[in-house]
Amino acid sequence: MTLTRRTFLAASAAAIGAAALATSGCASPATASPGRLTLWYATRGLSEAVLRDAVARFPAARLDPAAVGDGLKHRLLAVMSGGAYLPDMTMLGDDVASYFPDADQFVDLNTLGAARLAGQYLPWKWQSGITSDGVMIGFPIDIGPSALYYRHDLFAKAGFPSEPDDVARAVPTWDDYFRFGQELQRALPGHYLITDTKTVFTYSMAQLPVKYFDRQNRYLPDQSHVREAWDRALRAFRLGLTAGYAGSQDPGTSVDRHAAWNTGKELSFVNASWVTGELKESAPGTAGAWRVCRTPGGAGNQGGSYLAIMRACPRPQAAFEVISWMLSPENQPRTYLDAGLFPSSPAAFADPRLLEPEPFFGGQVTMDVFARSASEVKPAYFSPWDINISDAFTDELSNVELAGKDPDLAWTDARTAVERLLQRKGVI
Amino acid sequence: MIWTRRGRVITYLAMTAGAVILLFPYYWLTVMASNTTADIYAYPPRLTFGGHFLANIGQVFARIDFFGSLLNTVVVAVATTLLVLLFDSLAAFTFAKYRFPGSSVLFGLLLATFVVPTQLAAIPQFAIMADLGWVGSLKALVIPAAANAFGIFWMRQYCQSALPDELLEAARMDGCGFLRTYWNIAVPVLRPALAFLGIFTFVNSWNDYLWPLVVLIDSHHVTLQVALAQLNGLYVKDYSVVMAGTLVAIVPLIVVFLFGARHFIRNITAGALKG
Amino acid sequence: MSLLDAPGATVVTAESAAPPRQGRRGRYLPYYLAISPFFLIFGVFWLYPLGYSFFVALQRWDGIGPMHFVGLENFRFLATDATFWHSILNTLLIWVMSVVPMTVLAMLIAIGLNSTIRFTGLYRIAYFVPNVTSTVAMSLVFASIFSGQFGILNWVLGLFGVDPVPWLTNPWGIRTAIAVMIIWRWVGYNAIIFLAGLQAIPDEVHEAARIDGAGPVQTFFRVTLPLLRPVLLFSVLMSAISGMQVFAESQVLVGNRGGPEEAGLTMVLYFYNQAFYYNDFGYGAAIAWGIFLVVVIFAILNWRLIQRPERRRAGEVAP
Repeated sequence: MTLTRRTFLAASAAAIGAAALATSGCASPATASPGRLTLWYATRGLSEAVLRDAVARFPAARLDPAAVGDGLKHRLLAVMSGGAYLPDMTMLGDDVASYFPDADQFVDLNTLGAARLAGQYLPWKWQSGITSDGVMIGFPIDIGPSALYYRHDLFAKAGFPSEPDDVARAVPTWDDYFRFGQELQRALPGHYLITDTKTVFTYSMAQLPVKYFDRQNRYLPDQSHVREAWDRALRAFRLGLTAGYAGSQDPGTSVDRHAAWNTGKELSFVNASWVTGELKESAPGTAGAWRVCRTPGGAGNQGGSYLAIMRACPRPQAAFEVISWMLSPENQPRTYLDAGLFPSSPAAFADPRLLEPEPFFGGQVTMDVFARSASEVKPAYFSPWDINISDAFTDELSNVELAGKDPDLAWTDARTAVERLLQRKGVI
Repeated sequence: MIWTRRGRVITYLAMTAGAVILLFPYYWLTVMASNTTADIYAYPPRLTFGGHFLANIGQVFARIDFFGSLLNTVVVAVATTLLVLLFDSLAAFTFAKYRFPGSSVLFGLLLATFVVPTQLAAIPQFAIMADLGWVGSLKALVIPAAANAFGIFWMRQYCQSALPDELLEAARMDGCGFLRTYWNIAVPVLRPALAFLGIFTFVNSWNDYLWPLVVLIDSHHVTLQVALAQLNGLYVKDYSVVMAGTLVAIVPLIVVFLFGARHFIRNITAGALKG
Repeated sequence: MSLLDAPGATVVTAESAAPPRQGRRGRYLPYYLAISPFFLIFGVFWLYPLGYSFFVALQRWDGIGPMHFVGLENFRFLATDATFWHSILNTLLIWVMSVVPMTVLAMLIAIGLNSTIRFTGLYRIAYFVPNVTSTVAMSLVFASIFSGQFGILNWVLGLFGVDPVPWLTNPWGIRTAIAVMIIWRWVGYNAIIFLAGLQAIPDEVHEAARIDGAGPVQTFFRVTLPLLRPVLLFSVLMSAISGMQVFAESQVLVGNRGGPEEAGLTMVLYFYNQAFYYNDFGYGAAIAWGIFLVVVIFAILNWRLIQRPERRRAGEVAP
């Protein structure tokens, strides 16, 4: 590509007669700051305090952390495409699997001695950063174990079980949760227990040991488990349990959800642990009223990031030292307290700082719930196309929920969209 | 134009009401910037100012290099605007009033810029910048933006209607060469259009986000929009601080606009009234 | 003069305008030099992306790894892609929903600006300011205004006894909200343009109409509006070109995939979606070419609408 580009550039420059431009043919640096180790991360995707310590602790590495707002991926794509100014280390999100087909752009962390650290991390998380060929691209940063968040005070007011253990006992499966929800809605009309159909689908899928592909990247012919999750989501909608702020991650509709937290309209919801920060930030007036307990249907994971070392890095071993120190079990508790990033190392769960009673949750030690959830997550294989596929399904679900689309048509359209997408990508 | 007294009163009322409605989002922005994030989600909505304005702004200044990135943005916007005005008016004037071999083809080529959306163009343009060694430099923002095809379309249109052939003919009779015709005759006539294009370019350059994000690799030397985006957290967005940042970023632009607006609007109407 | 004149006035030929220089080739030299700064930059920075875009559209590429040549496969997909056609429809709908109210309002505001003597500078600034701020920056502001259950707009409507309108969860609500954002941004800008047009009409014209006994409304529709036609159509054409490229308003209000029924999915948003969110650059590039085609066709149609009535008018009374 470089040769073609240079030829093209020279040709166009010559054609217009600007000889001056042709003289700046110096080689562009492979990495963003030669001589330093640059680390790109999303703001608050790593603990600032830990980063500062890392800079001080590894002076020889000359670490240069750079926070990038939304658009880290865009910049990463540009530099990878251009083959220059690449970061030495970069954060990858839960779409890490989409980089698996291009694993050769990254350093296999196993060659740097990562394997001996494997035992310190949750096996399913460790595995999710490794391609089906065994190349390790992503070192675990944080995870998103799911839990049921609920309003202790409102449950109690309605005369329902309100202690975490009691609630967990009352709603072991999704069907139990739906029944519970219906009864609760009769007592407290106009309130919701499920954010939207997307939540039900996403967290149902998160609880399964199998997603859309097998480990050899073959599309699974039997998608009945997907159908099950789909039907469950629709059932929640038909029973009137969903609030219907579709796309609650998008700024346009999260206002609704945050306000619902404030007014108590959303009584409970299933979500991964990272929502706690959002909850505290947008609804501080409800402090003390929330509790968490085990997710109906079992533990699932949603979200979580990784750190990767790019192939262009001239000192991968030094980079690995920095990464493994920053993300070590010793530093993870600090990261959690500082930035709300849930540890991916079980040893961190036992840290006494994380076992303090939390005022926001009325003195509950939420780590108990989340730690248990984290260790119960079933390892599953994520393909590079999982996010696209699940989007196709959740988009159609919100069509049914908000636009009144016929559910059978929606299912067919979702399947068709997925098949067309995979055909275009050459997968099936 | 409105002749009756009652009509006049209604007009003033309507204009004021319209202005208030149009400016409401800025009021709401200020309210959000002066409250905490939680207040933003209160219901009924909190419509009054809170006491956190200074605290939020303090956070903005603490977390990002506000003034450094502001300076960068100003430099880029001014340089881009000047270059665009010069290059576009020169080229538009030529295309509008003169025929030369290949002019239609070259003009048609300009349509090509509409093919590539900016987000897609960012990828190959980054590669070009890498080859030129301009990555991380403000040059990378200014120079490519100087070729603004929309500006040429706009100005060519204006040239054709505002510059009668007789005027150019008279200039030629007086012995004016091409450049002198352009500079002494065309430019004064084009002032309103230049004012419009200038504001349009300045604002777009000021608000440009994606390309600066991609090409200004060094997080410590970025433009304002990129710096503000650094306030957006991964899982939690501290909205009141983000709003404060947005507000503070708007202020310089509005100040510049206020100073330029009088001049700009005077020019518009002056140009319109001219013969 | 100026903005009021019909577009497409005559072009001065080289023979009559330029003084003869050294020899035939030298005659055109100043023109080439004049356009060269622009085309130099254009050639270096925009020609390559153009070729790149075409080249990538013929590949299957995720933006990171190697490319696989697939010929016109992406375009074949595009032709049968219901979502793409839907996005074209959305873009057109949103455009119509924004350009009509915007033009009417801009005209009203321009008349108002023309009629108010006091505070007129302040008014002009106030109406123009929305154009100055970036869409992304105002995104949360508008999100909280349009929020379905807790937004300000619905709260105000509630004070008048109106039920909450599902602005962001209903397909037409979404399109309306996007259109409102566009109108908000551009109404002042266009009002200033119309104002310039209004102020260029000599007072004698209105005087004559008044003497003839025409009321203000009649005068406006029979006398003023026809004189403003070039300005109006210019404004509509400009808004057509930028309307086809709406992206930020959609993305900030309803996210990357356009919301329920993909009601807010405009063409450029769909392109962005496919290229950067679904890691399908080849298809994204093909979509970009599809968008270009739509824009060109639309612009030509618009242009025809402008040209033909003008040619007819040329035979009538000159202003």
